[in-house]
Amino acid sequence: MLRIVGTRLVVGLVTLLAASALIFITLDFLPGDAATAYLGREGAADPAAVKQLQEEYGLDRPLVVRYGDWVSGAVQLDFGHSFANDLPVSTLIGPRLRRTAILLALALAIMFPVALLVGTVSALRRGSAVDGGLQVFTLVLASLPSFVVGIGLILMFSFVWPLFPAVSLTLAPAALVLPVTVLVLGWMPFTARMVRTGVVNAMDSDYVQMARLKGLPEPRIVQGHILPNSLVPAIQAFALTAASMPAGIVIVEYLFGFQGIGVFLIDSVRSRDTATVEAVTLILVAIYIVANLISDIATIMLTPRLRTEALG
Amino acid sequence: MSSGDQTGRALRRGPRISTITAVGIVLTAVAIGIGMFGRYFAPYAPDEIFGSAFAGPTPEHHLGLDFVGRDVLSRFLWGGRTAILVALVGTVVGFLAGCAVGFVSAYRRGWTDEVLGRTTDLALAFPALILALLLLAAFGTSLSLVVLAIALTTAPGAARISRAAALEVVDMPYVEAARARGERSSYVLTAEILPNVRGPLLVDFGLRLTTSILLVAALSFVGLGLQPPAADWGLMIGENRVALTVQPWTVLVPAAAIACLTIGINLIIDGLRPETPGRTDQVEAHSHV
Amino acid sequence: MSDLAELTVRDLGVSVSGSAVDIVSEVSFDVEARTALGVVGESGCGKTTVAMALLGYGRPGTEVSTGKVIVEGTNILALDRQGLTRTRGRVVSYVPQNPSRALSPGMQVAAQLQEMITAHSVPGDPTELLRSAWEGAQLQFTSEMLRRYPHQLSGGQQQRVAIAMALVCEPKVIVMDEPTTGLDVITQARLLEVIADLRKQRDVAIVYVSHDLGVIRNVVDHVAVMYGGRIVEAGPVDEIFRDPRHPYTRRLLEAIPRAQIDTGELRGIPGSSVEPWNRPPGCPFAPRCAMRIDRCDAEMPPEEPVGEPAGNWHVRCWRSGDLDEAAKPRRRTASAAAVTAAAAPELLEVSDLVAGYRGRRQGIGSSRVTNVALNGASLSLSAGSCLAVVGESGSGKTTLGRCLAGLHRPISGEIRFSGEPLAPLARTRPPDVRRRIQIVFQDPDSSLNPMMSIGAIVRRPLRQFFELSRSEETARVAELLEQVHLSPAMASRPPRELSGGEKQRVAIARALAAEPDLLICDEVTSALDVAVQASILELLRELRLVRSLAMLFISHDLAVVRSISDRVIVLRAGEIVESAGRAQLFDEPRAPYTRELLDAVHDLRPGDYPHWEDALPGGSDRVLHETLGDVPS
Repeated sequence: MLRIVGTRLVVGLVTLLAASALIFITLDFLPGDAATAYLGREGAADPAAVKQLQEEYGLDRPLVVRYGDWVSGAVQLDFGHSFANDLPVSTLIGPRLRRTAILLALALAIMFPVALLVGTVSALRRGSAVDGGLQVFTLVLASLPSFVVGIGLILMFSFVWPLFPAVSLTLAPAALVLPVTVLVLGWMPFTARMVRTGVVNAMDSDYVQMARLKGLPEPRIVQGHILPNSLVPAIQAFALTAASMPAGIVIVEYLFGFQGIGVFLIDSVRSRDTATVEAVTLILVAIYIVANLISDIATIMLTPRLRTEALG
Repeated sequence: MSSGDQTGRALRRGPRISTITAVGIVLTAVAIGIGMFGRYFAPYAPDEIFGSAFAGPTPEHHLGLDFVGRDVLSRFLWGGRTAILVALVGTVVGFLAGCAVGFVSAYRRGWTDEVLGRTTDLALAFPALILALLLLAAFGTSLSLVVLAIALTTAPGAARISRAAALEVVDMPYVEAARARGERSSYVLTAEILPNVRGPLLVDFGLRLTTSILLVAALSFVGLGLQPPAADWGLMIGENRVALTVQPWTVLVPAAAIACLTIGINLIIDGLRPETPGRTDQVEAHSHV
Repeated sequence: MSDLAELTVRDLGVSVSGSAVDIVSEVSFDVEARTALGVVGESGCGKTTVAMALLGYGRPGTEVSTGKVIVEGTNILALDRQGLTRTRGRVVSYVPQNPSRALSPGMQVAAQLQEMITAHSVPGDPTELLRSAWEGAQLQFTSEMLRRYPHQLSGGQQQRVAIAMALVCEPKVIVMDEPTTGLDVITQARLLEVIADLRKQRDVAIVYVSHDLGVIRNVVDHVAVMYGGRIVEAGPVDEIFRDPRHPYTRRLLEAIPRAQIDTGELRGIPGSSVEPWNRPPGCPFAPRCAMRIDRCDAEMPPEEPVGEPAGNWHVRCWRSGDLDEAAKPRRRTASAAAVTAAAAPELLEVSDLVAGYRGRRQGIGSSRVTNVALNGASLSLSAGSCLAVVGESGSGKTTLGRCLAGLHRPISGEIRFSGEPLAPLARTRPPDVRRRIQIVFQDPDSSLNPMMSIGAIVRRPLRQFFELSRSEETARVAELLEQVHLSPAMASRPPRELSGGEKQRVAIARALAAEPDLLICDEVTSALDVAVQASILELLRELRLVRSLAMLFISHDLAVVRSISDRVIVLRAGEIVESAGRAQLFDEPRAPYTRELLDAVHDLRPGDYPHWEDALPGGSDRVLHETLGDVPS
């Protein structure tokens, strides 16, 4: 098992490395390079000033060398210098990352159980009005842009019925309610639908039919045969949801003015702050890769076939 | 062995799906109709300034004025086409490219599949919005770049789905029979494989189109998509949301139009999708933005 | 009927939920303890539906609508939900068709038995119950075995676990639904021994459902033949197999190939069985019956007793009294194709063919492993003759066919076709060579492109290999369809409207369109019902005769092989263990493995209808085949 997990880890690392190279190369195309961002248009027009800056930060060296420097720096959590803010990127990212992590963790911790519940209930009541209603509800919810959902919630719960702030500048619980809700509503439908599919597949399986023909009582069939065998699709839904997590964070943070790395990314894109964009995109890509890794490993642990193959 | 299965399935397929599809078609038609042709019914030019910011509805301006005093109704009627076209063109280009890669992967196998597969995996590690922001950061904001970003985010997912769909077909005896006859690859792909994967691919295209529409809207919403003073639904929401309580129409009307469009397309897809359990897990998460 | 009956079924009916469409109706029988009843019929006849109804279970979309299933004086069908739950597994238990899917994948196998003991609160020591069931199914009672997950067991072991599961609560009745279908013939034989031992040692009544008349013949005491949702004939197994009284039973037996004797003409049943909602008001078999009279269409015949003593044997047919003896199938005459075969030059020569498949890489550091499927096979095939390749799953027989068809690149070895070396992959072979080698596959449902019409499918090779005008092509398509006994009008229809047998005929027509010299038949009849299989086999035989077509006939079924081949190769784990003329291989097998295979076959018995032994006296065929088939190898 360790070997399979090890393989997955290495694949994840290689993907991360390749992604970092892609990010670095793409941003190297930035017209007028980073000096423009720092010196402004007039400053950049002065070749001597640009040259001095390039020398100071080593921008005149070949791409490969700079990439190597950047990666070795990134490993030590040194992401270079933010020209727009004139501060080390890591200093800027630290507190923002912490805030985003809290938001992300809260949203996932709430989303996953809710999705499991909704999906399972929907599947066990397949064909009923409850199922039909939940299916339409999740479909509509999945179709809505999160900023539309967010604006709707703000209108309802900040203005019509002022319970929570419309802008979430702090980590106060009340300020977190709306952003977390938007994230949960955005991610839950897909996971719930995957869970439903998993449970329905298990319900239609030959082994569940066999369990009925064995004379097992219905609760025992659900607990012993349906639910354990539908957990894996749920885990895999989690990995697929991971693809949409960074985007969700960016939009929600922007909508609520939440000072996390998402908003920071948009600000950095606006100000063409290369080092910051590099660092934040890398972190967001890493979140995706780690989420996939977790789901892969969980799938192996939960599937006897994979687990024993991995052992043998 | 007995035909119980088929009968059961036939009976379970109730009229519910068709009503859902019908609702979807109506919603999509309304949204696309307004988006594509609304401008011909607009009372004013989208950039004409009439009065003070966020003035409420009047008989001349049914939905009031926006943050610089332009007519909200006119901007709304003008504001769909560009975004819809950008999303559509980007998705079509990306989808076709992705399908080409997926089919070649599935048909060739071996190292071709390996290389294309790894590339796809890498591309998938960049969530749509992040990839778009990265491109915009590197090359500046422009419409063609948004189209490119959409194509680039659509392609890897489409490659993966079309590869999976083609792999299911590629080992079918009828394809093997064609290969044993020595048919050209182009014939095998277009006559034997493609017609048999059309269904799932169509469904996937629909999903990716909604994703792209959401992405364009999101980019405009954060101010990195269509640029002012363009009239655009996503941009309108972003520009005017500060006055959500004062002048809600200027935010809610375009929001409703986007919702109409994406919900509508998803409802249609849901009706198209055969009620085969286990199929849904092939369809990937359309990244929610 | 009988007071001894452990299980009494009366007037059982299952219908499509909420509709008047019956899937099965008026099913009645008794089974005594320590005896077995076989329920036999083709796919779609309702036998699995009956099997599940005996546990009061209707599959989703169906419901058990009428009748009684009485065990120990209790009508199971009258029980409430809770009563049913208590009965299933405890009073009547079930052995599923496909244990690899019916065992819960995430649970250790012993736990799947233990949960039954717990759920039914069976009195006694749970460990002893488990051991008794485990040993009853002839599994090793070791903690290692008990702790395994289903995927860690072989197909035969999985089915034994399923049987142990059916024994563990010591039920009165065990329903076995195709328990050996899908298993290799040797594994099947061992499992049937387990079942035979159970019958002797345990006080249970067994209902054994199968499509395989050879197996049914050898494992049950009574048999019920089902067609179109009804029992058309039921009675003691010996009597029914010797002298069936229903036209359907007769036609079914006429279609069965045998491994132990040479048969005459195998005759299929024309047409196909109808769906429950399209059944005629009269006898369900009437549309396909050669003896049909007007009354058959109009009125459902009642169950009438036949034979002595009365009450033992029932037939549901208006004409069972005047069965037409003259309608029996013909004995076989020496085939012209076989005569020409002897003098013909070698068409195909294969020497030392090695082929394999690359496995998936398991993790970093482990290299790709090649699984060798075929390890040094050599064979030759002369023009116009039929070489059969038999073996169990994994023997490499399909790989051999794929290498010859140019679908799989061998690792080493040489294939010569008409004296010329054959390129490994089809697309690198010259067009004329590609044309001369054609292949037909196992599964008719996936052999035809669902998006093309039958006409387009048959036309494609014409377009590729011949330069014909459009009208010539159309005429040729019609001709080809007629050659495989299909209506030319079928050309415009899509494959989904055809039955399995018809689809396989189209696949054969597509191969014939290229006017091949060698036809590779890869398990072409194994997905088909026996009556359809017979007609396909006869078609292939006829084509050999008419077109002097050489055939490589790949099959796992020794009886089928005997009915069609001139020479036979036996493959085991990629190696040829025996290669001999047909008569020699079947009558005097040399390799122990061939003998083991032949011993494992469950054939009909000597003297069974249609009495081939009487029809084929003196072994004239055998003499013929020995002189023709046994070319020294």
